Amino acid sequence: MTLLQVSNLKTYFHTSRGKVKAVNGVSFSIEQGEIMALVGESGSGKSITGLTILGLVPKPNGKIEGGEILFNGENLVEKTAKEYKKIQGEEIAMIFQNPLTAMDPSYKIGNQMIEIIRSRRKMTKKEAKEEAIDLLDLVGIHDPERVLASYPHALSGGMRQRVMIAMAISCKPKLLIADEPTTALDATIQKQILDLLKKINQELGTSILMITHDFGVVANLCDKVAVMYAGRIVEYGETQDILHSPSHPYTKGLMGAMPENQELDGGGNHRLTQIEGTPPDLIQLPEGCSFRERCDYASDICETAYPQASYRSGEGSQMVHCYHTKEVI
Amino acid sequence: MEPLLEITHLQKRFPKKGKKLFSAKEYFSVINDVNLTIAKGEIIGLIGESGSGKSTLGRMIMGLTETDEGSIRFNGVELNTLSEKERTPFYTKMQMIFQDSTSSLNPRKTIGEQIVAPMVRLGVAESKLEAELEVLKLLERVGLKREHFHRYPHEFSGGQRQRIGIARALALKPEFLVLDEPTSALDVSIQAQILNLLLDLQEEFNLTYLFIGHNLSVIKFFCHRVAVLYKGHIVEVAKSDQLYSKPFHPISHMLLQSVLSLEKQEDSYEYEEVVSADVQKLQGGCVFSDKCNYASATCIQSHPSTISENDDGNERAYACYHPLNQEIEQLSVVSQ
Repeated sequence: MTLLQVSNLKTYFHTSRGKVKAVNGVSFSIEQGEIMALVGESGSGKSITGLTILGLVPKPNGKIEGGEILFNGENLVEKTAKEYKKIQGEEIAMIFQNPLTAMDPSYKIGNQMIEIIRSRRKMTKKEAKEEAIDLLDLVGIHDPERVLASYPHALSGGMRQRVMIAMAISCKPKLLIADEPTTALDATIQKQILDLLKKINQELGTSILMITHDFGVVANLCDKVAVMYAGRIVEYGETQDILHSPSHPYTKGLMGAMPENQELDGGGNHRLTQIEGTPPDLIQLPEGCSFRERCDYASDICETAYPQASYRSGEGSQMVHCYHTKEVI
Repeated sequence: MEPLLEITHLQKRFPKKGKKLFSAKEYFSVINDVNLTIAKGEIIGLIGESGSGKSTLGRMIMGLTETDEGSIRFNGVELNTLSEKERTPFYTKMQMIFQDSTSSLNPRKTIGEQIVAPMVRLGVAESKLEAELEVLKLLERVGLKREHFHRYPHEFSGGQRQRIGIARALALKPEFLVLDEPTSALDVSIQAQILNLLLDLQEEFNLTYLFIGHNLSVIKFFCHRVAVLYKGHIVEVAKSDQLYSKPFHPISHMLLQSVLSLEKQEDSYEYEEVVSADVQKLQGGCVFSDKCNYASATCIQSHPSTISENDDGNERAYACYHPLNQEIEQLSVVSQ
């Protein structure tokens, strides 16, 4: 069953310089119990897509200019801020890259968790505390009592991220949006957090939208991937298909730029394949394909119009927006 | 090879907070008996979990954190006994590039001013004009434009700021650079650009790097040799391809296990609880003995000394009673 269906979503920011097209016609869907990844560079619009789904478009400059977000059959775009309150946290929850800024530094973890639980469910403080202990237990914290009595600054980065996840799943949301949850953590802790997300997905059946720039995370966790560039999804499909045969030059470039992906015998004797240049200005997007200025395959046709979606083997399979797909593969 | 930097028996302790005013101070050691030799023109990687003391070691080499005990010799000169004034000329020889490029730049000065100032102050350039001409060349070399000279740090993206950091370090014509996680705040595509630039510069100016990082794939790609740090101890030093193909120390093995490969691992669903180990609990024993699968009674009693092995000129050192290169039978004998 389709849980979330985003179609042609457009979120623009109105600035003194002009319209910033942060999300420029994004469409994808997430099934129940599925983990999907949104991959791209900084400034490609992946975080804004996540915030838009949750109704947290930065005000007053940001505005949804078009498209729809169907969540369980309801269109979220038309909802008022008040109606959205019921969805935020209860149906869709979000975890952030830096848990420290998402928590209140002057309250103990216990207070914050109990407050969240009691704001959504009718419970006494005592019941809420027991619920909090159960949740911390679920996310792999072995002495919940101590954690509840400590302040956010007293915990390590990995612990904080676990507490953040516990808070996010406290109301059993159907969809969890994870915005680079492991970028600030080191490799061993990153693995543990990914395993935890996998466990939550399997045990609670929560769908996850994973926002990341690391293909290693994608390969280990996600079922589907959407690659974003300059506010648009340029490639979309099953993880295995995209990892084994990327068909957009940008996806290919990103994967080539990863040291993980290189069969190099180390010692600094080689260079990584790099994507030259920087992402385009989102106020003045170039005519045609927005990647063409950095693309090795670019030709005259790329300047005419933004390429239509093409599918590798019939509708519903690996989708790509590129004129030169055949050469890329 | 000629050693450029020799570190012997380096120690650093920090006082614990929250004690009463007149009670005896308690310390925890951050760097514990570290020995490391870096040859000229070498790129050496320093890996370890967060909190293992990687950055502290880097800062101690640069003289940004004071040393408690031990010696750091640069080109044969002992740095720890030098006064601040005697040390100044060494700042042109050694430079550091930081992880957070925003906080290492002065927001109120143009980048040109910031790069020129130390050149004039430390006597690398004779006049301001000469320094400015030099900086313009350098900006182009690191992939920036000449007109960026008069801009302020906030006008740049993360990748560009890291390039500015590199230009500022190179302006003093150093021989040795400490790179403290230079790419961990950057996207993969920008990371590739910066890593390639650093490798090009290394060859061009015959630089020596100490690369501090926690991304093991980057270290493998970038470094000739790798040192593994755990709670202030160097537990293994080896050539990078050897370490990655066959780690000797259980800690190295654990770190390598956590590398995310691009192949989907079906059986990766293992869930381990994190136990926050208190360093003070382990008096005398191996620092890893509480988490190690191979730990025996010997491990808890005393810390293993470093064993150096030399096979075919490939030297590798490790500190473990039960290194993974031993046969399984030998292991069981030891544990009896």
